[in-house]
Amino acid sequence: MARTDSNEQVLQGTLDLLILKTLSLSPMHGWGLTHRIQELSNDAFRVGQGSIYPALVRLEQRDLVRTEWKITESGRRAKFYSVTAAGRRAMGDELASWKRFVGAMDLVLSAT
Amino acid sequence: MTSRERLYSTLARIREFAGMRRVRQDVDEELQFHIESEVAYNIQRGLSPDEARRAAMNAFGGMERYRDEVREARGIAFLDALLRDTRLAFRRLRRAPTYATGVVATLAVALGASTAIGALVYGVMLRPLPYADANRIVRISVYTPGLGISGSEQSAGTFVFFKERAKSFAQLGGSMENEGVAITDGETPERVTAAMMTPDVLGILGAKPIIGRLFRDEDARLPNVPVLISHELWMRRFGGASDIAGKTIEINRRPREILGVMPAEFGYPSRNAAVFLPDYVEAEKAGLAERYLTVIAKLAPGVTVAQAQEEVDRLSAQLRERFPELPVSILTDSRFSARVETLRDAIAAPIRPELLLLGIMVGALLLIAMANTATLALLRASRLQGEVAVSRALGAGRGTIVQRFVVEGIIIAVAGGLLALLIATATINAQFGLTGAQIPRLHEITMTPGVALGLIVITVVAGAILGLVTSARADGIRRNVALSMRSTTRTTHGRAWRRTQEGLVTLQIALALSLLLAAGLMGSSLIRLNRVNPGFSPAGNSRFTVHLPFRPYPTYQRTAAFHLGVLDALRALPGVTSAGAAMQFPSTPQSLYSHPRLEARDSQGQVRQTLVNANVASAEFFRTMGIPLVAGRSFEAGDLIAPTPGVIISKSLAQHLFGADDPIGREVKIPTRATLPAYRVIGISGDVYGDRVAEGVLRTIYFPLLNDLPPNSTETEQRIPFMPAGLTYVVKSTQPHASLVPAIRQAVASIDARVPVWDIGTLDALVANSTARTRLTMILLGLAALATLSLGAIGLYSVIAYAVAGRAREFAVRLSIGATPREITAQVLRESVAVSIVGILGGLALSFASARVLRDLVYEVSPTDPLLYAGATVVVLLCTAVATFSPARRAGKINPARALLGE
Repeated sequence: MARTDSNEQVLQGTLDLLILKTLSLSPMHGWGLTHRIQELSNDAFRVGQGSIYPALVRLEQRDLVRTEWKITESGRRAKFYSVTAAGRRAMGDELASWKRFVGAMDLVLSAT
Repeated sequence: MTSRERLYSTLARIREFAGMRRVRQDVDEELQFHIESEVAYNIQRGLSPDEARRAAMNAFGGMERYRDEVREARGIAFLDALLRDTRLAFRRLRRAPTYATGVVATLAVALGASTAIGALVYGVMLRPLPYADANRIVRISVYTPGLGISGSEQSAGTFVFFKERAKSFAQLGGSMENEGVAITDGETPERVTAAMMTPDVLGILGAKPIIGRLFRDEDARLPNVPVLISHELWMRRFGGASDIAGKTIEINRRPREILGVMPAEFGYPSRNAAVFLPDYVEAEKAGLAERYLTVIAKLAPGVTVAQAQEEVDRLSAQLRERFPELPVSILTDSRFSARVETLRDAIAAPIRPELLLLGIMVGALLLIAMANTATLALLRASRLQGEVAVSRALGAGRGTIVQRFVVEGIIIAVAGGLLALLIATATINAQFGLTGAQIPRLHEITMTPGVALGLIVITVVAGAILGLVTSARADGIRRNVALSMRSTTRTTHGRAWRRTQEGLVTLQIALALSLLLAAGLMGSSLIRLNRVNPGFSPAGNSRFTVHLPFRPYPTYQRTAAFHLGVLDALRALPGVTSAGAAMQFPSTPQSLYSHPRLEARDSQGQVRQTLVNANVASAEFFRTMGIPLVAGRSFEAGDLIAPTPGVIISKSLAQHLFGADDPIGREVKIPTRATLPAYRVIGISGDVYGDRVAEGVLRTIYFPLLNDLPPNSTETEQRIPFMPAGLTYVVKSTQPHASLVPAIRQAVASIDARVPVWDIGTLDALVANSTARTRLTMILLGLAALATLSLGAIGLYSVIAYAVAGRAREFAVRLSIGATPREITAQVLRESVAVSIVGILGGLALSFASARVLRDLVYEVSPTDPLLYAGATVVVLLCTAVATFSPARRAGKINPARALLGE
């Protein structure tokens, strides 16, 4: 029974972008992804680690990421995600609209 | 979710439904990996294992929540919810045992009965016969009710007539069954049923033996005709030997070659036939008097049944051309008609009225079951309103609620359906407790996997509907959450719902009344049937049958000597007061071979003719059976050797031939047998019936069984038209029947040890059979009426209880402003009576409309007998009063304060 209010939707959109960007740098599994995002943002983003998984599933269903079961160095079996070509294109679009959004916010907030 | 995401989710759901379990495992494995990686990471950072795990779970956020979200996104949340709902449903059903048992029982009985009866109706009336090209096979029957003949068999004359002239039929064949045939090789003779058929018959049916060959035309003209044997006989008597063709079997002391074995499923003319003999009909000698042939034909290509019927009707009018000896008005006098119908319809015809009735009963049962289940569901829904409101408040969506109820509905319905399947299968396997004699094609009725599957599908659909209805009713959030939550028994239904429920109950009452009425009609018929004097007194009599084989008893004298010798031996037994024998017995099916035409001249010189039932009887037969001799005397020595042998005729026959004149001493003749002498009437016997009382008394002529003539004279063969080879004996004794049995066998054996005795029983059992059919119908209807009435009463009870609960407020207000409890009770009673009145009127109308169906089944009762209608109405009214009494009283006992406080 997923209940989405507008806040979560915004968060979800930005989370998708974060995931795509991080994965475009290098493919990895879910756990690795949460730590990498944390690292890259200097600990600014600390959403519940679990929230990444529903987002990953949706991205896979939209064919923006692909998955592959691989064996890690420690010999465990894990699901690895990587960006598809379509994913890179979507990321580009999302980045553009993000920049527009931030620009607009800036303009409004810096008005006197 | 955007619509695109929703679409993907749905597609994923469909795609992954098959791999659901694996998907589930994958999700679990991935999340497990995450947690363990986090735990390892924390341990590396210096936390203890416990702290590490706790921190990992914390960092993850709600595990359950994200797992569910992933599952939902991947489309397997559905499966999870389903499992959860199933467990929940079982728990809830266990807490409502009355509802659960009520619905399961109703469905089990209604669906089980419907399936079983549906299989019966289909198997007998609708299913194609197991012959090649079965819908091109027709039966041609001839009816002459004006002559007092009830059968539909043809005579050799009409058979030859149609065979020569009818162009609608490519092939025509006739058959008959003979039950008095004995297989006489081996230690003890065995009685079997033999089927004689013209060679075309097997061709028409497309039947082929599994071993050996079919009959050829010339087989029928051999002195000892060869035979085909049934599968059952082959296994039983010959051990299924593969070299059976060419072996010999002795039938009635004559050796016959076995041509082959018929397949196990072959059952024409009936399943009883153990041997099949070829027969032929001689066109020149074909007479019209003896009706013994069951005629079937194959329609010529392109000809329809209707066209064949047309031609047969046309040809019937030309009968006198071929048989100029027929009187001019014979066709109208006898109400002659020939009917062409498909063989399947002809086989089903005898019980078609009963089957239609059963079909109506099933329809009624299903309607009632639906109505009751709906009422129970609605009652339950109103009780669960509070619980559902709480769930909704906690966040359950409408879909979730609906799903819960649908799952519950399907579970309960499938339980009922499985039970129904058991009931139906058991009933079908037990062949409904009936015999092949009562229901044709009974052995063909089976429970097929298709039917079972269909039943399960129906129950699932029914369960889903049940769930939908219940959830629609229970989910009151659309109206007022607070109100729904506040009361658990209060109902906030509108008038529309109440009307629906009242409608359902009205329907049940209407049906109950109709069934009760029908049962009453059958009961009334039965009483009248039993009151009919059968014309003889069966009490204390034993009976048995003996058939003499032809070879050792080729003449009348030898046959008569045998029978009279047995009678003497029987009379010598201790306790035996009298003994007699006759070819045909009253209240049993009459032989078809013995309907000659009789002619007599009355006192004005007018010639009267009629077809009669011919019998041969010993002198003491009438006394032993208790058939009164209303005039004249019984047979005496000398009656047979006289130039005009003496005969006894029944009262109805005397009436028809001679009117008010004294028949004693008058002469009668059989005009078609010129070699036979004229006969003199020496006595008049009381009337008796055949096996169908409803068709009236039999016009009978009794020829004497006497030993007048010199032992070696061959002349007597010509004196009476029949050779009394097979006779049924009756013995009156002071001893009980059981002790007589061995003595009887001994008596017969003392005359000829190789003659088998069979069918030893009491006379009472014979008579009981003639009313068996009416009794069966009455029992069926009575049971149905009882079931319907009780279900209807329960339905009424729940509806009234439901309504009373819903109007608690209204009653409470009235009570608090001065109304007495009795007034409230009276009001409820009045309103419920109003509901039943509508139902009763509906039931009366229904019964009136279906009077035509019942007319065939009742005896001397009008299907619209006003007394029965009144009686049934009273019974139903009483039942409804009883049903509503308790809730009505409870209405008066409402505590106004509590009700008004909305507890």
